[in-house]
Amino acid sequence: MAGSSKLAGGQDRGAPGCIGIDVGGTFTDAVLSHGTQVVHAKVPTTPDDMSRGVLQVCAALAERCGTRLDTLLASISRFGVSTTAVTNVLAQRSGRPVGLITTRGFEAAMPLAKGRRVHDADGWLVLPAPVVRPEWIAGVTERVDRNGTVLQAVSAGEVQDAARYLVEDQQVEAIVVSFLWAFRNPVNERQAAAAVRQLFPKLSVTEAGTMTPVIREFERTSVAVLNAYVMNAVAGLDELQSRLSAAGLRVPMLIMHSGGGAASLAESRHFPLSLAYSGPAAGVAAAALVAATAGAPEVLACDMGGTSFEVAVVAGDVPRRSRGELLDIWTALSMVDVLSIGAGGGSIGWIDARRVLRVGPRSAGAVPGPACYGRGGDEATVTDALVVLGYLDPARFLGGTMPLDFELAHAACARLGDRLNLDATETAWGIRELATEEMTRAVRSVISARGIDPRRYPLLSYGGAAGLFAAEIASAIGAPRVLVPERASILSAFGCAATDVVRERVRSLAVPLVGNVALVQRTVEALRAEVLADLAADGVATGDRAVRVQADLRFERQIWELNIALPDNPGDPAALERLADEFRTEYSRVYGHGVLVQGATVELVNLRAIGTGRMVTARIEPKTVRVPEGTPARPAGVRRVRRGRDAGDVTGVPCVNWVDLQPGHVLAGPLLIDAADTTVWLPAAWQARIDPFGTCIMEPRQ
Amino acid sequence: MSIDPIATEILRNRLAAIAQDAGNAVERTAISPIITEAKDYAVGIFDADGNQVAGGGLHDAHWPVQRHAVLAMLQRYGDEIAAGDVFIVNDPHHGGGLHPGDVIVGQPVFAADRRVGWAVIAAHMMDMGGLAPGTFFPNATDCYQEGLRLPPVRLLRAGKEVSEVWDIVRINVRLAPIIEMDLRGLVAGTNVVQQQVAAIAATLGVDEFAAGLRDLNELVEREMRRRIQAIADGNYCATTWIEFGDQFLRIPCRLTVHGDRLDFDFAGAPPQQATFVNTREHVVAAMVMTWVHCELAGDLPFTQGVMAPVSVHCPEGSMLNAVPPAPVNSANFFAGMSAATAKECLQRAIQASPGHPGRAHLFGGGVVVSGSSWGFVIDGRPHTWIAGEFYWGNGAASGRDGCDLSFMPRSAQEFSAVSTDVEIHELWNPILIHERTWNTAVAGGGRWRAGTGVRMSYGPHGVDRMVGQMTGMMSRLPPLGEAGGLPGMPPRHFLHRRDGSVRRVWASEADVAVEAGEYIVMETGKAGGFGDPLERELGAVLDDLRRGRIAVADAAAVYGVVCNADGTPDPRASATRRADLLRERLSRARPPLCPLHPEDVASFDHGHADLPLYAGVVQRGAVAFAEASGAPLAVAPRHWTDGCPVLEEPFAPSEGRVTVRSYLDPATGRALYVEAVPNGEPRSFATLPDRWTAAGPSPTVE
Repeated sequence: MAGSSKLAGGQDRGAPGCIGIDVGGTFTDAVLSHGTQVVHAKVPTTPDDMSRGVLQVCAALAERCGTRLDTLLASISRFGVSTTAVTNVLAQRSGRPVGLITTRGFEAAMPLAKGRRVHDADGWLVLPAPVVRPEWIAGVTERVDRNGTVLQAVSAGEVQDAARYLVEDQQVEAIVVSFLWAFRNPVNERQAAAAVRQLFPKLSVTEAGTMTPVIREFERTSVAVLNAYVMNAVAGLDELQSRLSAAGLRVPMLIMHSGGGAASLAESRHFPLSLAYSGPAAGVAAAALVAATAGAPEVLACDMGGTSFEVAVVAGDVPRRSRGELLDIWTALSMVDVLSIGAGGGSIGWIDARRVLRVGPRSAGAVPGPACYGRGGDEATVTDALVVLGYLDPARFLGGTMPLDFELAHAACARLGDRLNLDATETAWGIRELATEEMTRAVRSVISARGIDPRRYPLLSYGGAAGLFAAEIASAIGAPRVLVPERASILSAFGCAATDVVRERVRSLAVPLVGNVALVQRTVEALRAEVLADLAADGVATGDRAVRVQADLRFERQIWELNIALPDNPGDPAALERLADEFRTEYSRVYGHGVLVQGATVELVNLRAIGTGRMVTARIEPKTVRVPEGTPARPAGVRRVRRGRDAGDVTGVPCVNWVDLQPGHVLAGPLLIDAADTTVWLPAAWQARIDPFGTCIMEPRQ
Repeated sequence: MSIDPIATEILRNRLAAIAQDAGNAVERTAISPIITEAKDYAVGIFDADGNQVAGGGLHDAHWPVQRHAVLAMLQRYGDEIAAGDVFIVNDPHHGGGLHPGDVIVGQPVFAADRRVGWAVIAAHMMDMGGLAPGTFFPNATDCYQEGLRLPPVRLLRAGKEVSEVWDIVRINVRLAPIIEMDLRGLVAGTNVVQQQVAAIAATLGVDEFAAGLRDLNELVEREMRRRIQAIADGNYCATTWIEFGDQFLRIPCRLTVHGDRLDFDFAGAPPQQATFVNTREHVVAAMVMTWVHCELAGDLPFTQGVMAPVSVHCPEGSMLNAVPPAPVNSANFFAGMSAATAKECLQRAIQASPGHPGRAHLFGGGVVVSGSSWGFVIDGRPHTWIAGEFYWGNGAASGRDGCDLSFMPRSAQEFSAVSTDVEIHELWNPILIHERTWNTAVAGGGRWRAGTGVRMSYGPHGVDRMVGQMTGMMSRLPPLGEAGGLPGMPPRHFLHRRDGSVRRVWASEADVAVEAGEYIVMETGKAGGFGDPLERELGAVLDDLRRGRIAVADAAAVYGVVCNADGTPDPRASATRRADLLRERLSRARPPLCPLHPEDVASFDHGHADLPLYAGVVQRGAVAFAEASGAPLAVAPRHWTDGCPVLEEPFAPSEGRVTVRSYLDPATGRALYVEAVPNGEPRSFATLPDRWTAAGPSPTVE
């Protein structure tokens, strides 16, 4: 805990007060940042009523600051939130019924899920659980071709018949209209939507081609359909805003979206799907900020929590992808680019048919949780193994608020090991080794898929569980060092307080890059104007608005695009030629030298305008208290840790409390650093120092 | 010997990670979409003697042929093989892969001056020379016409390029720069494996490493043998027919289960042909292994241990094991895919094995690939479009309908290949797609029905004509159902003429011209159903009706379901109709080959427990009974079908060439097994477990 401060007293009146809150699946984390002073709190998430948990955690922050909730909230100039509400609705497929009116003959597109098939519990390949039932899809006669020529105009009467069937017979609560090639010529789609609105003026009606004017009907349609589907998930945010205002908050809250920026409540209400990756995006955004303070803008950001391990390659900014899967559904939603695998503290150890030890991806989750939680879980998990081996101090878990049961952890490991003739401790050692291997494999996969040199990329470790594995993963992949930010376990909450508003508009052109100057210029101007208007609507002051434009480029007929920044003067033919060159350079950088297809046409698939609205944000400031550089940190105690496989590998390992660490401190492994809700393992032959921002920088001793 | 249950799994995980890294390297450096997008490549890691220990990539059939290639390299070069050598081979007659268009690149892994393994990558090249672009040519009459044929030769010798061999490749293939870059990508991938595996071997010590690989395989082999041991000893037979032009080429397969071994014998296959339908034994074996893995070992890593207890025999000189000069440029397709017969045999065996866990995983049908490639002339230049869909309606299984538009019903991996959007097809090709929807052709009915494929209609748009080459392995003979489920539907193409006439387009037709205003309707295939369709639950039939999968008339004809005026099933009328249909079946059926009455079998019914012979057929003593009715079917050693009335009907989509034959329960008319065979062919399958054949000849007198 970073200690309390007297916010109400206003000693740090110059710095704005910022609160960031990450409403996770299990815990709601909060960070209050006020200049160099940072306070955080954690309460259990209240799934039935998100506001309750958020107000509870705010009250906890106020208590830590020695002030009242209303006084605290009144002093806040930035309030940011991330939420799993939308993710939950998608994961549980519990959204509202949405009807789809589409081009006749193509009604099967959504149900067939673009060929995506997933395993069921028994190993069969099955369709992903549907969002739109086949009977909620109606085809109407209409057609536009690839040139935008209307081959068949749409009939308002036919559309209204379809709408009546969907609303009156099938009881859908929203309608999406999505036609082939509507991004190129929206006339049929617009007329159809107008016909539906005329019939049902109060019904929510979306035109998919206007909402996301990009090529690929599946991804375009799924953005509109999913967005309409999750609309009710954000009702809780309206409620939260009004309860926060009633409790004294004077600024509108901002909500973290999947693209790594914040948006207003109004925008989130309009585009709730954008919140689907809210929490992870906040974490990666904050990781990028931490990396910048550590002078390492390029890092491998690794987040390990209770159920998953996530890796993102941060290179100065939040990495994003404009197309991909969201809970088994392909969409064109722009979201943070992370690889997620099922490996976390709750991952369960098991024995497969070959009679070897395995770990995950099945997780004990929060309920029943690891055996050591004492909530009825009886399978040995990664957390249980860490307790048995001594890496985790059962008495100090979550700052001592949730003591763990060593005996239950030991018994669970013993039961599992019994079937392999291993004792409890050796089994625990095996679970930890295998979990490390799984995570290492995920990081390596990200490295090899992007062709990056791991020797240039430090690992940035965050999330409650990553610190115990990061050094060994870094060794295995050859990363030079590990950065553990002071706020490692609450980085997503910090991200909610620390990001600017980001808005995005995209349009598909699908034309050769060179030779379409006028079209490019016209489109860029239109996108720029739209994004500036979006920023204004989100309350961003004129002087704080900035827009950059990117082109999604590829060689003709390739499947995947690269994003390249567009020059300021896209009206200049020579600038587009240079852009094509830049694409070729980037292509060979990403995909290796000597892979270029000479003379291949560069295709401009999409233009994308990204607007940034500068906001009041929490900053990572240098710490005010320092110790002389090289001061050894003083251990607060010693823990017996089983570091190797043999029973004789148990040694006393010094433990340092994170709160005792100041910039200038140095540490030598083997050593454990205990923070309130995370523990960091510094192996033997490793050393660490605390940088001016409080980040722990660990590296192998030379 | 005891095997370390932790170290073995860590080693497996590391090798799998290396295979994945190598795959990423290939995808990054190769450029052909067939590799980078369709993912037609695989990475294999082998021990020093060519036993597979790990694999990566999507196409598992590549792995067993990679082993074959390593053995060919070892045989040809033996002790001369040195570190840094990289070999290439493509000729299936000389150690090559699934067909000549695939190349296999292999590199030995050396550590401490000893060969400790092999790094092998196989991939489909866009061209390897020969009569037609793409190296698929139906009318080749010998292998000399089929393009560049490479036995194992060195691309690099001790790390140095053998420029002569690269020169030979360059002047013999079309698209030489692309092929060269793809080849360099494969070499780069083997380098990744070589370096990383060598590092592991060096760390562990070469002896320890070799022992680890042996352990990995031994664990898998032990479990495989245990699972095979649980299959009832005996003989299990199935026959299929390969279609080429007007011919049906008969492919019989006999599986002998003996203890912990499976031996598949294709004795009786036709002699090799002077067309591209031939294949080689190792190709058939590779395909068989993928089925064995799918049916028996989906949860086990695909290593040599899976294959060790399995043998495949194809007579030399037959079309399944052709010798030069037989053409083999589609070795993977026609005959290779006929290995699905082996899957039928294996399913018969598992069905007859009491308590075998695999009994829950049996499903109807096999592989139903359809495809065509279309040529256009745009501005005087040739242009090609592949219109294939490599997914189909999957077979049903006990308790579940088949999955719509999928690959295998069960698999160890999720399939990441996706179907292409209509807008992308239309963007890149001068075509207009009129519909792409569920294939509503009624087939694959059953108590649980097959999944559906798609129907896609398309024609030229903006050009005068398109000309097609039809591929695909079946167009008359359908995939089969199980347990009385109906056969599915082969893939079908129809040409709709401007004058309104429609003609069927058969598999392997060449030069099919489609003029402006005409269009092709392509239906992907559908596998078989499971169980008698007259036993399908009314609710399930209603669902299919509501979702437009079947029409009211189909409900009556196939499922015996009578609907009320509001379209819902009438339970009483349906029960009556179902009873009528059963009676009618018996009245139309041919009498049993060897009719039995309960009193005939009393003296042979000396068993105590029912042992399964087939789904719904049990053996008690020396007598086979229909399980549901208790009607006796046969006395050992006669085949259980001998007591079944036999109903024969033409299979309409074959236009008079194929008969659907149902073996009925003599007491009730319930279908026990339904097969489809070319007219005049006898029963296509046999279930002859030893315990059945040994039960007879039974004592004739007590």
